[in-house]
Amino acid sequence: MSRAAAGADVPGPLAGLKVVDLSTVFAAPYMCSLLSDLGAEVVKVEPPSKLDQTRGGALAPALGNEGGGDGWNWSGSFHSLNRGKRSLVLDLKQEAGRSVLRRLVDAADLVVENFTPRVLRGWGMTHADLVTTNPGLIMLSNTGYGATGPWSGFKAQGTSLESTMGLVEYSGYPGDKPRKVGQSYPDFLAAWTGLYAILAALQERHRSGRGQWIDLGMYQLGPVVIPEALIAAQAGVRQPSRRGNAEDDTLLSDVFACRGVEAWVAVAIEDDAARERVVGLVREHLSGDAPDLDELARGLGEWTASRTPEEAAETLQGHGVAAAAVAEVRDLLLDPQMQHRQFFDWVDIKGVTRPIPGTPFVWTGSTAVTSRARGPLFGEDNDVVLGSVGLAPEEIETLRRDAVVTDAPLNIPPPRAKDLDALVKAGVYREIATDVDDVLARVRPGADEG
Amino acid sequence: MTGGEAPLDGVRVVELGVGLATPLAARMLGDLGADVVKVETPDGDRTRSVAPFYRAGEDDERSALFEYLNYNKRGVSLDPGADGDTLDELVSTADVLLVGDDFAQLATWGIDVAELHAAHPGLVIETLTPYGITGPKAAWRATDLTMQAASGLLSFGGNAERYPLKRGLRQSTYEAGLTAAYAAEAALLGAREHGGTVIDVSIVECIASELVLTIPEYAFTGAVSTRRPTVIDPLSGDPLPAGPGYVSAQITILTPISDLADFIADQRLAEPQYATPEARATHAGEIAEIFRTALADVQPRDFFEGASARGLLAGFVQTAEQLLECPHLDAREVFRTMPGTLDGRPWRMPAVTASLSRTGVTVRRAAPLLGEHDSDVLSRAVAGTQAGAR
Repeated sequence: MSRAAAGADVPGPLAGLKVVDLSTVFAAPYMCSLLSDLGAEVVKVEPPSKLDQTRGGALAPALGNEGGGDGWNWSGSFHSLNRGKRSLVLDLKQEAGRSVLRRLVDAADLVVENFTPRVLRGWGMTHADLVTTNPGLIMLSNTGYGATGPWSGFKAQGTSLESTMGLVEYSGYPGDKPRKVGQSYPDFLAAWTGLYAILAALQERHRSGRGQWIDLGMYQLGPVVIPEALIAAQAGVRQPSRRGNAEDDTLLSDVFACRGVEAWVAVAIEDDAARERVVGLVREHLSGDAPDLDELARGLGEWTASRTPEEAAETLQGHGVAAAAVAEVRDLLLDPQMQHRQFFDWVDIKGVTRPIPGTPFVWTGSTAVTSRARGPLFGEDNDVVLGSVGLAPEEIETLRRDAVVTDAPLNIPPPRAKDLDALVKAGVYREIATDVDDVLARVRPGADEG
Repeated sequence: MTGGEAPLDGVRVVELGVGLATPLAARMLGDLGADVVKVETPDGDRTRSVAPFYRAGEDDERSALFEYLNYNKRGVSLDPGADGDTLDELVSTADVLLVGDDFAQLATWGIDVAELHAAHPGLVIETLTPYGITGPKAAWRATDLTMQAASGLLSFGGNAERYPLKRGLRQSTYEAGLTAAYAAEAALLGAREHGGTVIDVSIVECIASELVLTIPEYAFTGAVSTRRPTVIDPLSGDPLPAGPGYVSAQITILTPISDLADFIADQRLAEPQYATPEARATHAGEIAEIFRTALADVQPRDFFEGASARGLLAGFVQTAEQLLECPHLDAREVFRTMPGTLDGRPWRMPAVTASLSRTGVTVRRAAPLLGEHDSDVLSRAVAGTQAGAR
């Protein structure tokens, strides 16, 4: 099997765009992989002596939870967030490394980075420096708070940002404390917003021929997605911040327990007509002819308790009521809708394809948008990338001799296997499923393709 | 060659949008200079009736949320039954057609995406619907809650002892709006060489595309994420009580717990039983109590600014009211004044997402009244078509 994914040979709308990705962890690496899905050629530049946090550690689920060896090459989150890229391992602390980077950047359309601001200043590689030799260069800097303003020097990570951004205040059980929901939501807001800004700069460059610098501060994306709360605050409307699963535009919305372990269905009754249909459906569980919403919720809960989430959702949908099973990943893989739309992209990991989350749209036309390949192994493309900027074999040899370029991490022990049982005991995971290979075999598209 | 032109100057976007996601995506293209024409049925986008309302003039009240999602657009009103030809003519002047947020919008306007793609091979057609426009669940009804459920996000939201909990407000639609905006831009760039595209966005899949850790945890190791127990490491970003509100702090190799103990001036926190995440989870109640007492008289913002100035990873739970007064957002000019008055006073909403060094974002015009630009846009669309111009 090849490194390329099925369908990767159809060009994307951004075919020919050259991207240098200096970033780590979630937001900016994801941005660059989505650019790769769109057809861009992305080189991920990695330091020899520090692994991206998704190559090893708590954020890196390694294939089969195997530790040791070259475990930094087989993390599923790394392959999700770095799919389609090439990897060049380059020590930017040495001038020889920075000199190679300058050659790469001079030939690039876009640089994406998430260093603390003083790093590129120290190397004389700010956008203002780099456009002197490459006036069309676009650069995106992703930081917690942006490059200006009183908080611009503060450290940030998705988790601590989420509270400060205003997202946490509005999630939680009624009357309970604020609560974070999901994984590092700010990172994804930043990934999509960064793409929006990058593509705007590319559009503008078609007219002006000039690149520009994008200062993306994740903090300021919080207000963008809480307009209802900003409006209520200015209208003097007093309402509780945290309302559980209640929604503004429904009469009743909540999750209801179903038959099975951790089996739930989400139901939203949007209007009186839907309410009447639910009353008709669960009538035998209701007392009285005119149940109020509390009584309806109680009766509906009795009705769902003897059904699986999928049965309940399908029956309610059949009656024109918004409902969906609360899906776990296994359910997403088996979901006929996601299968029909081929939501998952399948990439080759050690000779067998595995699913990673794909783009959330079906794209039809003469271009394709899809994962082009798995993520790169550590330093997998050293020679190809160095050759592409005109370095001769003997120069490359010198870089290797001086450990400016390395083919394995320097002085980093291989990642350890996680103690999954302990994590189950601590409640981080519900269980370690033993049917993964069976599930994947059932849904894997055209085995041995690609 | 002027640097002052907006990126999407000269691009025409036609929006057949109701709700939140499609209008947001269309507005973001308008923010970049596109000429966005919002097309509504004579009933209007339902968001027009969402309270609260701002006062645009004497006896003129309009939805504030509608304003936020629809400024930088012009608006026309068409009757889908009677004005089909006019819509066709308008679409033939467009570079991008956006349709959503309901699957029913396609039927309302009689749109067959494949047919339209064939008829207008250079056009970017983008639909935003809960499940996408193909597949067995395409016509399923949906709300923010049911979409969060179907995406997988809800399965690990909330507390283990309670029930699955959604992310607050209407996040699914805003996530989809951000995604749709970049996808349309990419398609426009591709259209120069490769022609038009159909982009069928699923809002459920937008949320699922966030699960870059949860999906491989299962697919690579079998680990099934779930709602967390009450007792987790409180120094992993979880809100902790401080004065009148909540703060958060994260311990990492570079930001050790001893630094945090020094900062809150309470050495109890530096005791060995709080040294590891596992141990802190076991003693979560004690740590919350240390914060409660050590920070009893501290404003959450002061904790955040002080801790951050010392290089610690910190946060504090902010409300919308606080964000509106935030000096940092003020310095970065994130908010822009909206038209009219809300509750008798001027009001502001966020307008700038990322800052581009040579491309500013401006609020050029207020959201259109229903049919406000009928005569202007429609007569030109017809004239343009008759002249064969695109």
